[in-house]
Amino acid sequence: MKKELPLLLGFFATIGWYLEFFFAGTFFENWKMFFTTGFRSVAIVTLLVGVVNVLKVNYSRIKYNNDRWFSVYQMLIIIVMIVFALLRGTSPGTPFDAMFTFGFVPLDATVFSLLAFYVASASYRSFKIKSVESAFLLIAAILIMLSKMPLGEAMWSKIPVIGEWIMDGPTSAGKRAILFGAFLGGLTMMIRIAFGLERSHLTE
Amino acid sequence: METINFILDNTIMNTTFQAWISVLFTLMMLSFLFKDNPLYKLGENTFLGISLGYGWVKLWELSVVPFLIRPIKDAYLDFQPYDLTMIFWLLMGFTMFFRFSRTKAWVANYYFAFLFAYIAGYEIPVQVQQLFIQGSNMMKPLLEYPTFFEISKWFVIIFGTFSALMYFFFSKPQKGLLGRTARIGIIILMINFGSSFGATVMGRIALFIGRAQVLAADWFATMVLSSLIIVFLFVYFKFIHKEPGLDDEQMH
Amino acid sequence: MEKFINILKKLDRRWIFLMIFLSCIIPFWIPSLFDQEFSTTKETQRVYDIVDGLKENDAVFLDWAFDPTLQAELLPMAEQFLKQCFDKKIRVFIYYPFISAISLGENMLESIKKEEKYSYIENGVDFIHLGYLPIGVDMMMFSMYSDFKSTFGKEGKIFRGIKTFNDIKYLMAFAGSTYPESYILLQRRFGFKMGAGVTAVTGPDFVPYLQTGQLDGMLFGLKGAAEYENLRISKGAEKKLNHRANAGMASLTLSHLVMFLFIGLGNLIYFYDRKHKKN
Repeated sequence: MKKELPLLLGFFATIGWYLEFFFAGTFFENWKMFFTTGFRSVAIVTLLVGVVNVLKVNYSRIKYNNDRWFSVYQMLIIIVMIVFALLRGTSPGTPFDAMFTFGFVPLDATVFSLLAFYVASASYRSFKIKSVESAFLLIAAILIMLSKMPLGEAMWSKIPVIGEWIMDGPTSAGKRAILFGAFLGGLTMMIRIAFGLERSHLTE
Repeated sequence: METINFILDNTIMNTTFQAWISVLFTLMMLSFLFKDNPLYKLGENTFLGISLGYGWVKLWELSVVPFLIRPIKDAYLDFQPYDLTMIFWLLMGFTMFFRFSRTKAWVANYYFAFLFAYIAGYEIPVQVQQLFIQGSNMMKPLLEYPTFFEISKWFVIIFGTFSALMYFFFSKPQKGLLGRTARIGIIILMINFGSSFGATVMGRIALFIGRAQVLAADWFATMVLSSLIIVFLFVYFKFIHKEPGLDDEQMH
Repeated sequence: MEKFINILKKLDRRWIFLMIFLSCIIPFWIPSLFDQEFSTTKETQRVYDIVDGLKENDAVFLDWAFDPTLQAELLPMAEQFLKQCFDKKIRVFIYYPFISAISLGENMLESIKKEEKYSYIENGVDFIHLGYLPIGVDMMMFSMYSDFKSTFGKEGKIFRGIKTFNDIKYLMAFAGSTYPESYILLQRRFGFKMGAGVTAVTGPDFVPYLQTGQLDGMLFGLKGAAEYENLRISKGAEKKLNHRANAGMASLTLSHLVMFLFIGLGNLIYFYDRKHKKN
């Protein structure tokens, strides 16, 4: 009842979805609509669980933690956003949208762009020719960078052609080998789930 | 109400204020590059607050109202037999709350069984299809485009993929012919990682270029605000925050 | 030499940060620096040709799968793609798989509307924001192939003649992750035509799919966006208004030269040390 019945139902549903790939018809149309609308409703309900979770985390941080003023501030900003939305709506040209465009966009984009600096520092420290393999790595990286910037082409007109060759030849060969591994791995995992050998998504 | 409108129009809706605040937020986040400091923390919490507030409002507007409240309202006003499926799925959704309980967590198993059944049943044929597509694409006619460029690529794709697979899949000692093939495989993979690395560097720097564009366009605000931030950081680390940070030793 | 190497070894990483910062920002003030011409790659040309070959009133589906983190690379692509569609009077359906992408797209459309040439475009007629669905691409695709309109719960004149996804002529996914792969998995099954605009980071992952033809046309990173801009400018678009990615090309060049310099210095230290240990 706790695990066996869900696994059995899951097995039949898997067979249904598997057959859906090969056959068409009203039964499978209804089958697809039944599940897609259903998963959509459940996803919305689970989002409510997420909201409850954020409130819980912030409550405990305000109550016990030293950094409580940052949590209070965070909750305040959330309330401000909701008030703005209630006051003037959420379309472009409203305070709600301005908070997004002039607050969220610079913060979000800058946090991510910090990676540029760490990549630069990391390549200075560790990008060294220690063996034949790492020489290949470095040369490929530099050729790709040159082929993807205007200066490379201005230096020698054949640089983009070389870049294309590296992309289409060795890079795609390596990527394809990794893809084969990923597809086979995914396939094994899915078959294990279908036959109930993999049960980590179910609890006691 | 008028006071609120006046305040809003003169702060967040004012174009000069908007330009300065976005430069300020950019510089606040960049100050992390010097050291972790309160300005960065302030920016971080503003970021979290805005993103959560924004997300909740938009989810309400775009998901909860059209796909949860409206169907329930419609079903309440005019009940149709197919609305039973919706009730079934909503009950399924509410089983998620049982996950918080220790003894009754198994109730949610029914939903997860359906979800994973969907993923498995949908993915098995698709993954097999992808394997065939990628495999058959390698076997192109050799002399389709008889140039050195294309023919050399043909050899690299076929034997490169093959030797990289050799390196991946054979766990027996890689000696002799297998060893030599696997070595070519390593080199192919290294070139692959090298081009990925080169592309990654480009992508990451391009992201900062987007920010630099904003800073350069508003150079006056950038100059004023960055000098203020530098003064703040100097005062803060010289006089207020005296204990040596943990990351000081990792700096070199 | 010894002294120089020692300085380099003890170099605080913040000096590297400062160099990268300056090399990115200075070219914006001296635009003539590193102002080179560059050719167009075949993938970019393909995207342009496909959109150019569509007829008036055809429909395309744009998947806006990036939030502000990746806007530096992907926003110029999306802008040019939208403008090219509006030039050809093609209907655009815009879908946002991430919540934080929605306002970015809405603001982009507002700023396009401000240009005189595109002042006529209207939400619900020439384009529509389909919003966000809390389900995966695969389920959305199944739903769209059953009934396009009811998937999103939106109304508008733009839906005329679009029953299922079969009536969509081209799918363009802008993303900075392997997200477009979920469309590619379904491409052979349903037989739609799709392209992708990706960041440089994920670009190499999509090369095998370009070779199999599952992906028809691809824009690759900031340079792809700049190529696309140049293609449109060469066909008569105004340079001043379509200059977002090209403006960053000089910074890209200079910052990479700085990168090469640091990689070279790092190797210099390494080889100097190795030679010294041997002696």
